[in-house]
Amino acid sequence: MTVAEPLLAVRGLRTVFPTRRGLLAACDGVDLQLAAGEALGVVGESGSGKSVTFLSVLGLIRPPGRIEAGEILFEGRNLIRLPAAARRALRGRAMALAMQDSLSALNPALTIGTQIVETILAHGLARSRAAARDRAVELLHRVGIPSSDRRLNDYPHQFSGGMRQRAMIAIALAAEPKLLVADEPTTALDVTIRAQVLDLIDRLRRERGLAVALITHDLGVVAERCDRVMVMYAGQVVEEGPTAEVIASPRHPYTRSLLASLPSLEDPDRPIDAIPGQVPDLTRVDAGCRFRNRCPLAVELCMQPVELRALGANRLSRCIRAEEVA
Amino acid sequence: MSALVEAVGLAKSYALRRSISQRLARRPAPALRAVAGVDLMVMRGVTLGLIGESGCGKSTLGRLLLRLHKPSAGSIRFDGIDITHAPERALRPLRPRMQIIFQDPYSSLNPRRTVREILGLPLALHAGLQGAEAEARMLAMLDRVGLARAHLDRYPHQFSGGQRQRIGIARALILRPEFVVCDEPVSALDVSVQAQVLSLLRELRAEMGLTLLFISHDIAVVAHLAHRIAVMYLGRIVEEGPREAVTRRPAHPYTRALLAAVPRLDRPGTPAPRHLGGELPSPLTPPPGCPFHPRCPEAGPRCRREVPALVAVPKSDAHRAACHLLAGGVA
Repeated sequence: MTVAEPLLAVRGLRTVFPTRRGLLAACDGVDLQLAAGEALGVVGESGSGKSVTFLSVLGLIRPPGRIEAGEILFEGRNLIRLPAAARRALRGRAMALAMQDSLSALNPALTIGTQIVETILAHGLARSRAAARDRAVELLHRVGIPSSDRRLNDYPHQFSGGMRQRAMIAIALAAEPKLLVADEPTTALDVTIRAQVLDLIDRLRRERGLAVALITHDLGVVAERCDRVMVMYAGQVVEEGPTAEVIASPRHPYTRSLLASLPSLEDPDRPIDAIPGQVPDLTRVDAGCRFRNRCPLAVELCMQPVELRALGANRLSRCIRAEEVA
Repeated sequence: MSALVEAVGLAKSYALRRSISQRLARRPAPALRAVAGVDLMVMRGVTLGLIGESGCGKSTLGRLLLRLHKPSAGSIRFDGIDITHAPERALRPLRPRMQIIFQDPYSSLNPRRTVREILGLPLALHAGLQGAEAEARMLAMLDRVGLARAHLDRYPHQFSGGQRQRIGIARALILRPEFVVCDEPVSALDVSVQAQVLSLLRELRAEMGLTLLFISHDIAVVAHLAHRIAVMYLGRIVEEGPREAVTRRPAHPYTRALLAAVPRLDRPGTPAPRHLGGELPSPLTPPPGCPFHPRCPEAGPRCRREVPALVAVPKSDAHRAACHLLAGGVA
């Protein structure tokens, strides 16, 4: 093959959580690929499985939740077979997570500096505390925090929301990981600050070849920042492709409905079409298409299992009528 | 058209606790000016969208207009009646006419009350309706917001987020108010559910002839519903005008920055060209002069000295902005 081995390849991932109502597969047969220097947008509503997919990749699924099937290849190694200690070493060093809620992700009782220094020392990236501190100053500076040597002594509550978010990204990047999972990294931030944080992630991707999985419900953010987008619904990938193409001509009815439900600033009077009905109960789904109860194109055949299939060179859709979606 | 709600010089400050050093130095308690002198009119039948970032005072302003808070200065009139200092007893007959829909449908409904109790309380208190008559009103309202009779005896936790917001809407509208403050009513909802609730609000507004103050940080959502838009920054209104004028010909540099920062679907791969630097200043220590000057690309010496007044935007009808650029320059 001429195509370079992707940094991350996930195949047939199924992560389940036992509930009182039965086994719930939060992500069910997810396939994805991510190359170095690439930004993949992962879009879906609550319960679509977008976060669970990447928590599985990071090895952060807590029992009784478990990965039931599939493989997660990172630089060619299957992480699922890796012993816990080896996985922990990988996490933080090779792959890192930036979460939505920086206030709860940071320890309120330790200074920002201590938290970055601890991370650097834990991963053995500096030989002394002093060297780790120098590195911390540099990291904070790199994420755009002014007078970073002084701000190192501040506690999280002394930082503004945007600065906390950037500090968290600094911690995530302390070990120079190859993959950054950014789970709604800017949802809690105001629009003007949000752009600053996204600019930072963008720059790191371009300059250092960081692979970024940007998990968000905001299609606008994905449109601006990601070359490729993956749309998830009820635990499955329903569509994937180059962002510009997916937005211009979606190939799954869910993607199309999602786009039609967004108010647009350019054409504020365009009626918005709400998607009728609700997401199915994941403990009660059958093998058929999971969107069919809300889908305007649904036919009897949609009760049969539907595979994610290729449409042309780089588009994927999980819809038997994909060609008719416009 | 007459003004249903009118605020003049409206301000709200919160006194904070003094720190030990402030006490020792006998300094006065610091005050947080959440709303710092707002002049605003909401015309009958008009939806005014209020946008701004967190901490700009937009929620406080909404609650002041309903007299859920007491203002520190200025005045509020509702349908011509001065309610600035009206005691709760005098406000009581006005309460059914002004209502609020909250952002978080999880915390704004009492978890120990059924839908019947949530909707029945305002009917009993303000309309004196009970029994079959009240139930008929509740069922009609539930039906109108897309819920069924079977939902009447359920508790809030038995509903999804979108359904809860429908209950919140039903509660606000069951007394057939004239003025409703919608405080980020769709911000906690998923995109597809957000569209359902927005469409519902639009329909109900037309049917009931509602006057709305629609507060949101999402400009596209506001533009979808509002006839007029007001932009707030650090407790002040920096721009106000017809929707088209504010979104297409913004006169204030902050409004321009805010619009530029909205991610757009129609030009993939091209982030907005220039983003606003800096952070929102703390309302505890607002900068002197124009509150926006530390982040403003156009700021001049005058902006650091003088607070700009809200003035008419030249060649734009019923459009005001608070910027020295519009009134004599920044020098």
